[in-house]
Amino acid sequence: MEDTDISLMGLVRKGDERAFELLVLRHQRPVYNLALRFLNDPAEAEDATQEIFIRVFKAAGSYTPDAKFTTWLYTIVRNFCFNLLRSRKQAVIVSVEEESLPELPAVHVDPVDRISREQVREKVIHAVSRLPENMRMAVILSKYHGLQYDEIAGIMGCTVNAIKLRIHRAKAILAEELSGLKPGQD
Amino acid sequence: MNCKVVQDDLATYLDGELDMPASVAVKEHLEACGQCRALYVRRLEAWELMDTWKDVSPPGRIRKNIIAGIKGPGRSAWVLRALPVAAALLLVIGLSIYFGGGKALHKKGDFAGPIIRSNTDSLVPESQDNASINEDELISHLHIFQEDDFLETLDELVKIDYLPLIDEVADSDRSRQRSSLDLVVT
Ligand SMILES: [Zn+2]
Repeated sequence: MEDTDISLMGLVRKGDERAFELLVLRHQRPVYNLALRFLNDPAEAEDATQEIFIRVFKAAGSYTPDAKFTTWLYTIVRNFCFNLLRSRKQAVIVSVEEESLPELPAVHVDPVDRISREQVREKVIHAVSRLPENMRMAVILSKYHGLQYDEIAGIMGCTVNAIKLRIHRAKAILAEELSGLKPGQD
Repeated sequence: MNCKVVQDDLATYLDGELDMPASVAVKEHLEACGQCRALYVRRLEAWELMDTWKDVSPPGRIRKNIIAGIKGPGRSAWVLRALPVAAALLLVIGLSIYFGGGKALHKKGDFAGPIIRSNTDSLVPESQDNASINEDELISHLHIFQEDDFLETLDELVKIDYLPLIDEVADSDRSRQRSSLDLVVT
């Protein structure tokens, strides 16, 4: 799989548009879903996905196969999404040492009441969107893209220990926010 | 292994990223300690609830827009590429006029080329001394770009985000990989 991505990128470097189309077909879904979960806005995720792939095409010359293609691709996604948030002046990027747990809202969920899966999903989206940007990206890459800590560290440009710490904190927050929810069958 | 250590390692343990001796120690502690086990179950349940946020298919138009985006750089991109060339040309001609005795201007009619043309044939009277050539006046008479070309170029320029990302101090093992990743920051 990765070998094929690398060989396709070799062709893209030479300006092969067919090879590029194949790469888009293969990776547009994870890129779109990563942007969607991180930005929590379908229209922005759509624009971001388009812009990211156009950058991939333009930056193909700078791609060297010493990094896994998806690591390189997700680094572009991460940079694009973080810059987008900054340009919205909503992002507060802090170092992992400064990252503090956000104030948790009181969770009033009666564990006896079973809520619908859709309601659980909404609570999950809400909880993830409240995480600080660095934590959110790390959690999404771990949970929904199945990436290992060292790969996430490569994408985020930080140490594996920083990723461990972020995911540890994020899981503690998510457990607080989602505790007691029992989805019913629907 | 005490409770504090186990609780700090829970997220890493959940992700299967803990090394084998530590993983065995956490497992043994969880079997023996009800408090840590309850915390573990809560984290595990919350992590599993996140599965309710499923992937979605990206809209079909994304792929079409990407392919359209890489084809045909368009006029503005041409102008963008031509800008530094034109600026260099202007500088060279300007300097040669200023330091080279202004012969080009004195040779009336020949001066107006395909790129630079003078608004007036009598910008500098033939009898006038070179020292009286005013740079501002000279520049004001040069028309390299139409105004809309210039604005289009500006539009292209402001789209480029050069915002650098603040990365934390990387591990030595990360720096290898980042060397190629850093090329694609923007
Ligand atoms: Zn314990």
